[in-house]
Amino acid sequence: MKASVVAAARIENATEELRPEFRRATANMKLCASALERLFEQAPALDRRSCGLVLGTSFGELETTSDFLGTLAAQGVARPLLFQNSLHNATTGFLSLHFKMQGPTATLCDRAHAGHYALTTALLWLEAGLTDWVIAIECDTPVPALPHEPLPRAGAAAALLTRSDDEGRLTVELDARATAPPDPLGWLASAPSGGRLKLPFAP
Amino acid sequence: MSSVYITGMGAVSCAGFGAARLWRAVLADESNIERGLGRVPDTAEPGASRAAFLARAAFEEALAQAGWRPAPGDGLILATTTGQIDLWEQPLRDFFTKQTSRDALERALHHQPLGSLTETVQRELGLRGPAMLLTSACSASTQALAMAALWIRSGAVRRCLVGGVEVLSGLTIEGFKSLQLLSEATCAPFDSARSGINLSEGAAFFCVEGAGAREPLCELRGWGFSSDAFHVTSPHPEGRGCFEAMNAALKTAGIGPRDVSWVHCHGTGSAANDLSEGIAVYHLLGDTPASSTKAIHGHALAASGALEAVICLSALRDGVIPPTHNLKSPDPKIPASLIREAVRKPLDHILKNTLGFGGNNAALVFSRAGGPA
Repeated sequence: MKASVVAAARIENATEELRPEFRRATANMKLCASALERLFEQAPALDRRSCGLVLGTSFGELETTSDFLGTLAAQGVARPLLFQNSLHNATTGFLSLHFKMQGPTATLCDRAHAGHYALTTALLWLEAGLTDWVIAIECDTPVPALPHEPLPRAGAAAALLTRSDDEGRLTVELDARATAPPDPLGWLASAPSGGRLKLPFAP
Repeated sequence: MSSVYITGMGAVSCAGFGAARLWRAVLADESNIERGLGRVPDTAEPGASRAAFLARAAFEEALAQAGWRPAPGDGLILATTTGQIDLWEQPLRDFFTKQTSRDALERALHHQPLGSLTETVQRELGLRGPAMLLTSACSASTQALAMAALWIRSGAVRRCLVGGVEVLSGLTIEGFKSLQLLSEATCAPFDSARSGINLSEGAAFFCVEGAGAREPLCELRGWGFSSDAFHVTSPHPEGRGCFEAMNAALKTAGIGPRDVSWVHCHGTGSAANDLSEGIAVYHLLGDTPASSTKAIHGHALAASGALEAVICLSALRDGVIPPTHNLKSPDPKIPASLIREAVRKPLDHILKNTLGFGGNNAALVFSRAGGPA
């Protein structure tokens, strides 16, 4: 399976802009929204409605989970906003709502290889015809409650993929003999046009 | 496209241990919900991971039925929303009320990332192949089964163990309570008087493999995913995304709406979910029989799709469509053809539907292996 990378972006820090629509957003949501805005700037003709979205994350919304449980334990108050944002797929829910994306959506959680599996899942969705366009994104923010837990990387890296294998473009393909780079989505964000990423199915 | 089959299944639910126990409870209309919650009879060792305990009971049953000995290259796909939360939730709350030390908290929090459950199951079974965990809320284990089919069709793995696991926790109980979605009475999906959902816990696992599968329980034939893009916790009022996911599953399966023998609905008993889903089911499938079994086993969140897939496969085997338990006065605004008494007839294709927070929808088609009866 080979796919073309139509757009790619890497974000280190979320926008600090105080937009009203981000008022209830978590750090992961803001980071991912910034990354997707970069992708959409590079692909203005994309029909977002049918575009798929796969998010890979090591820790997801654990900080929000801690906030919910901390508020509950210390004050006896269960805050509904913190609860709904504590779900690890809250970020993809926020993104699909914010960008009006109605295609297939999934959230994956893996301590070390979340970005790798997000990318392979996106490739399989294209191969199986679940969608013609799909965004694979990896996102994490440091979790203060887990000071000794290694964080693969902070920030977000994303790529917009489609099924064509236009040789002039950056391409990514599954290859059982390849060696996985540690940060495949970050690699795509900095690779030159015409570059090629070969990826084994398992990291 | 090569076919994908399920050759083993196992389940643990508030009905007890074993897929057969769950199916018997469904057929006997025996609800296991107490004061609004569905708890698995507690036999886990204190201090051990309850999530891993439930998973182990379910995957051992599935592996035994399929006759599998786990091989290092087998794939593993899990689904959960809270993983091994039983190992860290109380220490975290104790820390906030100054009843435990920072060191003790940090030891407990090592189990907090969801990926720690994948690592636990991989270690127990000696698996070293691809392993992934989906956490797409209540659609997660439905998606997990679909992803296993894609892994096998792509040639990435020859066999894949797939399961959903969920334990009851303060996080989910207090969280759903804060959203005013919990019912203290046994839930009544699609009923005019429905008052909310019953959270529950459990696990269900499946052995999934491709061509050459011996004595398959069913063919896993269709799958579809969609997103509502409507609201964080409420489904689209006319079931737009739900319709799209079910429609995509029928297309993948290569069947039409008239071929579906039964729709096993998500049917949680929440006002918004049941209305949205009932409208979508009617628009896509007309008078095809539809029902929900959540009044028997509750809503096990990410594990619900897997637990209900066990019910689908049992129904396919025995030729029985179970009714919607606790449905006394169907909501007249819900147009779907809701079944209130069990129907005995050969079943060819079952559509399993799920909805989740974040607007995540997923549907599967389970078909009789070897073609129609």
